[in-house]
Amino acid sequence: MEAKVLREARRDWSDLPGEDLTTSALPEVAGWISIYEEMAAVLRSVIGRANGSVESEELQRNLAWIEGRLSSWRDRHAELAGVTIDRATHTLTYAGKSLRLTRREADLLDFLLRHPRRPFTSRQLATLAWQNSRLSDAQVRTYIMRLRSRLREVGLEEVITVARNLGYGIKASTGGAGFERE
Amino acid sequence: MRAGVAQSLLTSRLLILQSRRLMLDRCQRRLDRDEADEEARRRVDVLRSQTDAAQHAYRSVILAWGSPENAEYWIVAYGRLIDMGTTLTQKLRDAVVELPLAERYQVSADVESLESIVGEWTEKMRRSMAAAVA
Repeated sequence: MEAKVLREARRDWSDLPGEDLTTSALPEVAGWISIYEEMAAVLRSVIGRANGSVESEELQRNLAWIEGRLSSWRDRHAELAGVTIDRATHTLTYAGKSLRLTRREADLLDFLLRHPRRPFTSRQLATLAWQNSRLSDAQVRTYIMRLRSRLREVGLEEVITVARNLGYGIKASTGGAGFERE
Repeated sequence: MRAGVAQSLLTSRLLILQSRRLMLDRCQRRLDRDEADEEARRRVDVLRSQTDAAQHAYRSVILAWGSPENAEYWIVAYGRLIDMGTTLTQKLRDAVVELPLAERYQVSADVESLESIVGEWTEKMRRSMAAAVA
């Protein structure tokens, strides 16, 4: 019932002329994700240090809730962004155009999408996005350069950002460009 | 060995924080005596930012190296969580009126839950503070 009311209300809102409700929340959501991630990191650290105590059990429940919200906002961020990555075929779709990516490229995009506004070093990307700590910085850099060039083919310019001494990240909003996974 | 290193780190960060606080306090008093003292005003601004940074560094060391058996560890841990939870709640609340309906519904639910969690953390921090004083 509630879902139906929400759907109807949302349709009414969407009918307003000239409004693009799908992209307006994107930077906001990225900002919330960053804070949720930081809270989760502090909680994990505290729980790790105080393992077994009464406090840590309660904090574990808080962490579970925060991780749930984090996951939900990451999905929503991807949905709002409007680009799809089909994980089975590694195909990216954006603005009606499709692009076949390699598995590594798709994994990299998917990872960056789910962690907007956060820079990652080459080492972190190798370990977190690909679970392969043996990749060198130069290899990761090559993948990034190749992926950026591939993304330009579908009109996604400068979506992957480079912050000096911090690493690579994804823009929270690039004219509605972000990535969704299936 | 680890305990020794932790204690040295904590002590050094605490000393830095205390020295910044003393300098800030002295400079602030100078400014209070003469509000037209532009040099003192500039110095207060710089020292305030340095004190904030020293405070942050001290808290980070406590979180990384402090003992959970110590009440101060929990004061810092809950303090950090409360700060983040409060910031997030405020951001969510500020954004809610501008958002599409689907987000608005989710955000309101988040705000409610976060407020409850921050309330729990605040209560626990109070208890830790009482334990630290006792």
